Amino acid sequence: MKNGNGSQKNCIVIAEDDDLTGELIEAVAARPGRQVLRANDGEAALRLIREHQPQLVVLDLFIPIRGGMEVLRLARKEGDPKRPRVLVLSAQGQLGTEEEARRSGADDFLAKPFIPGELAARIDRLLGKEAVQ
Amino acid sequence: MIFENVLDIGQLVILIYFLALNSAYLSFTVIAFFDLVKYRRKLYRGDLRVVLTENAYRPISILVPAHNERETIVSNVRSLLALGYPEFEIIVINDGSTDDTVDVLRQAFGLFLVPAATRVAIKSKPFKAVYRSLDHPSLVVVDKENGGKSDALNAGLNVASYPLYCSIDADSLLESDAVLRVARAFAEDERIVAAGGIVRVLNGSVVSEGRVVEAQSPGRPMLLAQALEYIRGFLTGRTALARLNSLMIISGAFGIFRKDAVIAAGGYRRDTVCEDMELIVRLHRRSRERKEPGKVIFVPDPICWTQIPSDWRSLLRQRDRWQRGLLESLWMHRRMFLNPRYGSAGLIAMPYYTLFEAIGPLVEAFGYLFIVALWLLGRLETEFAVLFFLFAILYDIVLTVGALILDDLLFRRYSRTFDLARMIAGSFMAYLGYRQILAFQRSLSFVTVFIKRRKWEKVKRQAISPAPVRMQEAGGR
Amino acid sequence: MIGGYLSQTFGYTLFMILAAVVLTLGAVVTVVCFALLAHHMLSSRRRQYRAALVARAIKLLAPVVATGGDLDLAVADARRRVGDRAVAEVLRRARLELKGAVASQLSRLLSEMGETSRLAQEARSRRTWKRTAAIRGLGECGGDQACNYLITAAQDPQPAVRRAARDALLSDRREESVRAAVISFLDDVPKRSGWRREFYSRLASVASGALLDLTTSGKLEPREEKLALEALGDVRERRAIPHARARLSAEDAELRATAVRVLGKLGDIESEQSMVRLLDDPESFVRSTAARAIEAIPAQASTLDALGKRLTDPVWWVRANAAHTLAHKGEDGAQILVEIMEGSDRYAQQISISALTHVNFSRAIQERLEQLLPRFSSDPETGAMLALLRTAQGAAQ
Repeated sequence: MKNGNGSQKNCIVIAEDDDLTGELIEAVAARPGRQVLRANDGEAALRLIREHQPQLVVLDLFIPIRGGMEVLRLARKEGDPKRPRVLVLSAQGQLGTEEEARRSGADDFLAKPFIPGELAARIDRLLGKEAVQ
Repeated sequence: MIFENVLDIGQLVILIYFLALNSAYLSFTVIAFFDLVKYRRKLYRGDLRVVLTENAYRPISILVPAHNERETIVSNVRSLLALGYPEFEIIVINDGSTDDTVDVLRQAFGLFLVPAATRVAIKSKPFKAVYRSLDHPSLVVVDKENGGKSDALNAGLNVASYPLYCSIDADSLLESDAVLRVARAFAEDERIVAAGGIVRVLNGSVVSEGRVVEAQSPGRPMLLAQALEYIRGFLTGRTALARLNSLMIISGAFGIFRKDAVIAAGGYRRDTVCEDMELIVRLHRRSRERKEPGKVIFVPDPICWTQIPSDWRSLLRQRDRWQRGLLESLWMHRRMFLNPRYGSAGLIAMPYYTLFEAIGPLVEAFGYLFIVALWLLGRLETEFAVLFFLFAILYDIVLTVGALILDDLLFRRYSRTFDLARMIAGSFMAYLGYRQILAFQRSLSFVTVFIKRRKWEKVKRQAISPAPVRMQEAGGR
Repeated sequence: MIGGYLSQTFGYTLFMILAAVVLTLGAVVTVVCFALLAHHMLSSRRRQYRAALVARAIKLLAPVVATGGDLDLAVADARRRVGDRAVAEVLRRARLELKGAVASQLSRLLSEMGETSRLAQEARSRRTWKRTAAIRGLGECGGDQACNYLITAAQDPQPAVRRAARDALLSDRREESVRAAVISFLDDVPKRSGWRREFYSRLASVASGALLDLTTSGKLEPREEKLALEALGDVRERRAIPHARARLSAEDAELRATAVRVLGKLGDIESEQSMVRLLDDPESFVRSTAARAIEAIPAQASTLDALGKRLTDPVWWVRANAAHTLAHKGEDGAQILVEIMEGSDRYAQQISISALTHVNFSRAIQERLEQLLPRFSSDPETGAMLALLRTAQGAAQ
């Protein structure tokens, strides 16, 4: 199911190397009719993004092989019209990181530890924003 | 009669030396055991997270000196860019390569020339150009005239903009949390001026996407023997020496330093073959002379994987360089020898490195010759000789197995029991030629130290490819 | 080869002793080797088994935790299937990742299943490392029960344990826990500055208000205040601005430098004039810090002029930072850099060219640079840098 600008509707890629956190995010994001894919490292995340052209990427900044910042930059660079929205999730509580992530093209930023409800709301909002456009 | 006395004294000297050497090693193992257990108990999975979350870390410049590295440089820079560290820059210093190292980099990372006004804190050969990357703001490539590895590192120090720097070899692989683990030590203790991590043998392990996915021991006896040397040298030797604040070597393949301390000490010297060792000795010397607190530490869990020479010629050349470097450093800083003014560095480190590391191979080679001489003279008591030789091997194996036990109990790098068994077998096999050849080679270095000049030394390398591969074990060419 | 001398003296006895030693040693080595291999094999299997249990526990619990289902039921079920140990580990880890109501619920569950009491028991161990580990575990559990133990542990005779307890209390984030951590910290300020910096930094991210109170209380020495202020700047605590502004004229030079850096981080426009004053500070590192800090605030023309003067500072870092900041100040800043290129100070020219590489500048600036090029025929090095800047600008656009 593809929408107007080519990205797959209701498809989310989660890039997170910690198994428990990945599982938590996946459970938060999962909704009927939504496709949620998971990658354990940056390289795999980029592959998934290329193959599935998701609407949203939930990205941890500290993932191996290719760091989150690099994934972020590449994901935002590749094929501008169908680029995914990116929600950066980081253990770094500093605001410096948030600024840098937003400069590199993140649409939203959430610091760990997080409230599941808040993450769900942000995911919904990011997906919703896309649908309105 | 005098002749007989000489023979007797010769035997006695060798025996006493042997006992002293091995007692030193045994005590190292014991010290290392307690220290590593203590370290292991302090490890907490939340700690690294704390370093990431809080602002306790300091930003770090990673210096990668490169000379004719077109095969490996791109994959290595790529894996460095993915390093798990909050704030860092990578500075590749191309030291007048004769191949197209720079062009390869330019294509891979979209480099463009930039004008750079660099503060010259330490003299180095002139820069040809400085590049930055379009895709990676944290990557800097310096192209300079050939001047040797120390000159390249000095140039890197001038360009580096962060308070800590990490020197790594262009053909090594860093575990993604390695820098973080060492940097945590710097954040906790401000007296630290230099810290080294453990260097392990890459050959034989399975590598994918610039990461070691499964650590395996190499299969060939000669590589096994080297792998064991690394484990023993790092895990017991360096841990114990660092505990006594007498660590004089931080591998050039992976070390983190405080930039201000190194610059204040004058950077890397260009007239020695082993600039990494000489620098550490100088840091020790300086901090003692100025009565500033300065600590050189070893951190046992951050790993740098390195490719070791897989053919005899490069191995012998490498060992020759190490031995000459050691001799030069000890000679340059002979003032420190047994000088109480330099504390443990003068009283423990200098005598240890001189007596055992520098002279050791000489005595060993002499011992082998001595046996042959006795046998030729018909004065060799075979039973005693065999027994003593067995004793020596067993003692040495006890030490090696001790290191393996430490490695396994504390860090468990090899997941297959087979690899461990192979390592144990390797510790026996090292006695069938490997040790003897190295002992003679290193004795020879006492001669070559006066002849040879420094130059870039190459280990035949395998490019680190993205698909999973077993790192090369076959001969170098 | 212990020939002549020794064998004459000791002969047969020595031989036998040596033989015995060798045999024993050989036997010991063999046994140890096999023991090591056996241990490796068995413990590998045990580790795999445990990892599998934890993985199953994650699958069972994570969806319920994340979606707010009936956790009590899920935990009871998981405990039956994979055992307490794996369940406790997963709950502890999940609590580290989450906050809010779920986190308190996880604390309650950990307390109910006896994990908190088990760790509290371990926290009474005589061994320091065991106590420390247990304290950290309690910090992961959180909740009232754990915090009571933690407050006691913050008075432990061992500094490492006290530090772990303070960390754990801070991660609990509740007011009384934070207060207990601060009290324990003030009671014995750690000797290691790394530990102190860490504490301020954690406190700042958990309860910046409490750190602000501590910083302005006057209880801290200048070197401590410096660390605390820095931590406040890192979390962008704007309430620290008045205090930082007052410290711009502190006697301690490092405190001045910290204050100006923090104000830069906070982007405090109103402090601009006081920050500019530090560009003339007698200490060079204060000048260079100030030059860098001004980057973050939208500067007036007079500020840019003051920065321009610093391009000829005797100290390299001051020049470099001033040039860097000017380069990031848009058209007006770039103008000043170009003007200095028209002057005769070679160092200032080079540093200005170098600084301009980091930004994209306008066509007008580019044209002025073009006109400048011929002027450097007598100074090929600077001329070459300028030419490079032109190409670099092309590549970046």
